[in-house]
Amino acid sequence: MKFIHIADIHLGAKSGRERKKAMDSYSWQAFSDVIRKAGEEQVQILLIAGDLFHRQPLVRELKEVNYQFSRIPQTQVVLMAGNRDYLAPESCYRTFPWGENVHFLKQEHMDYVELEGMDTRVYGFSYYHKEITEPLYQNIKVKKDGFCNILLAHGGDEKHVPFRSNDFVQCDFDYVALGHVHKPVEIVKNKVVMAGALQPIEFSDTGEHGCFLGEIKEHKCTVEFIPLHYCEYVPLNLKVSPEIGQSALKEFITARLRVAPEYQKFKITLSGFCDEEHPVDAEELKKMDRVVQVVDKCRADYDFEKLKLKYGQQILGRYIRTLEEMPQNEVTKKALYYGVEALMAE
Amino acid sequence: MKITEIQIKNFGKLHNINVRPLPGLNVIYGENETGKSTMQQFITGMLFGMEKQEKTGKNDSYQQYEPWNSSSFYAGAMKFTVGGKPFFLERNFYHKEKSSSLVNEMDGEKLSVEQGDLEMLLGGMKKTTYENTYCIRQAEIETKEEFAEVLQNYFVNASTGSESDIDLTGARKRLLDKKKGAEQRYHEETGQRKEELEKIRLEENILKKDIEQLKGQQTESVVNIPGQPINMIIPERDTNQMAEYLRDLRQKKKQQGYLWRGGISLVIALAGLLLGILNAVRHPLGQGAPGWMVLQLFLLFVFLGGAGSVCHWFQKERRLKKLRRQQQEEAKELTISASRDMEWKRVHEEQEKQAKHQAVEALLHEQLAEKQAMLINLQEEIEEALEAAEEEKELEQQIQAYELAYTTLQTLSQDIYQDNRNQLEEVMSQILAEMTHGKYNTIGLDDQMNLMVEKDNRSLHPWQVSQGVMEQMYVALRFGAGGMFTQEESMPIILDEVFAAFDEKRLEAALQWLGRQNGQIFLFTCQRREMEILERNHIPYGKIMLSR
Repeated sequence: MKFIHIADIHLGAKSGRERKKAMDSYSWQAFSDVIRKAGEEQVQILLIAGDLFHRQPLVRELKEVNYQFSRIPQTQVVLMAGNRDYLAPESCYRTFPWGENVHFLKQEHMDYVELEGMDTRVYGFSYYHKEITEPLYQNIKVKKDGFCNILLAHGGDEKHVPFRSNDFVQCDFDYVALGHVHKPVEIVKNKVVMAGALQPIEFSDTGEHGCFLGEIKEHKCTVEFIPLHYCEYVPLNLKVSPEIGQSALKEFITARLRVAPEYQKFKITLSGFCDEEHPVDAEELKKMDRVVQVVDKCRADYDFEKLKLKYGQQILGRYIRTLEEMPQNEVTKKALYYGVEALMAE
Repeated sequence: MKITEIQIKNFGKLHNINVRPLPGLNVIYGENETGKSTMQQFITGMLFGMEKQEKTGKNDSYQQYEPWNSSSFYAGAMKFTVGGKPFFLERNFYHKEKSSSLVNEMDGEKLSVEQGDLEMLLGGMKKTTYENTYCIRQAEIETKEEFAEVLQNYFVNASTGSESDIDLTGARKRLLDKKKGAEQRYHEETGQRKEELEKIRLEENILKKDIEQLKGQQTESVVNIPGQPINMIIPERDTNQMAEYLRDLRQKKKQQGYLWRGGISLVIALAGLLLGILNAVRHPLGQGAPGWMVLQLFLLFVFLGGAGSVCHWFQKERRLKKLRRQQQEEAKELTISASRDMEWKRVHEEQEKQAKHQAVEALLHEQLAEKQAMLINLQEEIEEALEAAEEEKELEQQIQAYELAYTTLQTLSQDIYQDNRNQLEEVMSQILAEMTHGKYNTIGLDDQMNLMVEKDNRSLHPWQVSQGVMEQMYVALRFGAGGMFTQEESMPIILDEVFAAFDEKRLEAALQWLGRQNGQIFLFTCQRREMEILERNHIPYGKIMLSR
């Protein structure tokens, strides 16, 4: 029996002001792509482990999704509401008439759906609130009658049905289809899989994203990750030194962009030391095509130990020592640089 | 630092002079115009160099001491020790051939004055500071105005060893400027977010109104069209009543016609019959006139005709009734079937209406659900927009960091300032106490760096005390400050006629105090009484006599 497992599609996501449109179309395109794939591969089950929508779905969106499902009548779709598209009292999920091949795990507590003619049950429940702190995925009783049992689950952090990977190692499920964490990872190989977001939602969702294509044969499951390349955020850490000027830096980034595939977008982190007088212009780099973020962690090239020696009891030396003795955090670290910079300025 | 040998080749009025001072107190005696000031200038010139100024002014020491006989030969040398190590320093002051050499005499290592090696040996001291502290001249016993500034800066910048070029006021201003910049950007960011938030809130309000309206429409539609089917009253078939009426009317007219005609003929017949009978009575059988017979016959026919017509009318009437009955039945049947049609049509229409109504209701419901979902989403967006964005958080941190840097600098400078000030005041007070035999033992500085002395719990300014005490106070200040600039190894102290206003007693106390000091002191004087007192008190000193 073949299946596709996806999660966190976040349809309708529009976080971030400017990238509203791009994000929106990515998620719909990627979703439609998965449906096409399910048809091509003739998978029997499509598992959607929560957060299909970024927020409460609108009826027209549900209709579109339902239409997509109707394109693959041979595939049984099982889905649940996650923490983002939770079943609010007014949720359109509650009354929406799904197509015949769609099974929505609507209950608030552990339930299952039996898929006709497949000897398969899919367990799961839907979120009725944004947060669930009880560990509801522990000690699930599974019917043992030779059926293939799959768990569809969403969460994993402390505010969203906390669980540890161990919780599923000993379970009786043939496959555990997880969602919520945006990074795809096989927690237990071929058995417990966090699908990851279908496409990156935030800049922090770096690396490849896509779906898992799996097959269960006689209670043995194998899965394979299939990346979808609409968008990928690639972290690019550049170590700067005072000798590297702005134009050299730009040239380097341009060259790096040229060899990278078109779907890759870059988030640049500048580290190291820069010229005190000619710091890197991060704003200019931000304007470059396919550069989505520039974090400037460059510091002026100060050798605090030497400065402390040279200016021992003077204000500069005392300043460095005073700040180094403070509890270290981002503010004190910054203040150290700011103060030294101000004192050393001509 | 101790100067061990002064070699003047050509410097102002001094030529080929070779002096070896003692490491302690040295008295340089000479009458006026013998070159005491020239010697002082030579020492500071050797230590800090001498620059020819572009604009020639009165105070240009370069020109002042440029030898008049051979301006190209304007040089000298000096031997000194720093930390016990001997050094040899040579300088040519002539601006066209300016040169200098510095050699460590212990290992012969060549050092470079240009590269700052000499400055390092002097502990980083600058010429201005030296002239304001170690170098005390008669004319300037009241410290120069700029000395207050030097002291201020000194209190802030240094507490030991070297000075620095750190400009604290500038640093603080830079921090404030940067903080302002960050604040401005922060306000821009938050402003944008707030604007966004307002937009969403507006959308929310519109949506809420829409929802209210939709809810209103829903209840309205429920009131207007009750859910159950209405009682169907099927109306009479709409037959052509007018035609019926006209037909009946015509029928009646016809009947009346028959009756009239039949009635007349009957009356005539009856009259004829009666006449015939009467005739027959009057004329027995067979006796009647034939005329009468004819009439009789005619009347009989008429009678028969009338009876026949009445008969005919009745028959016709019967037929008509039958027809009517038939027609009525037909009509009835027709009506029944037609009303069935009607009913079906009605029901169908009703169903359609209801379906329409239901569709409207469903649409309303769907719209409502949709809008409510949108409302939840907007409310979530509002919640998210209430939270500061990454950029804002970063800027907030920057502002905090600038603030922290600023306040830290502020407190540190105050601490250092206070430390240094307290330290200086302590040293000064000690010096003054020794020189005045405990008469004045507390000397301090006010906020404008003016000297204050305490006497009988009163704070006095220098001009409120005697000239002698005032000069003692300034000497104490110079010595105290000088001692603080270089703690490791003090610089040679130059005293130029500073004790001229001291009376015998005070001079003795001051010289006794000088004799106890570790540093090298050059006391320039044009009077012999300093030497006399030193000899009387058995204080060792080096004697350097300058003569014309």
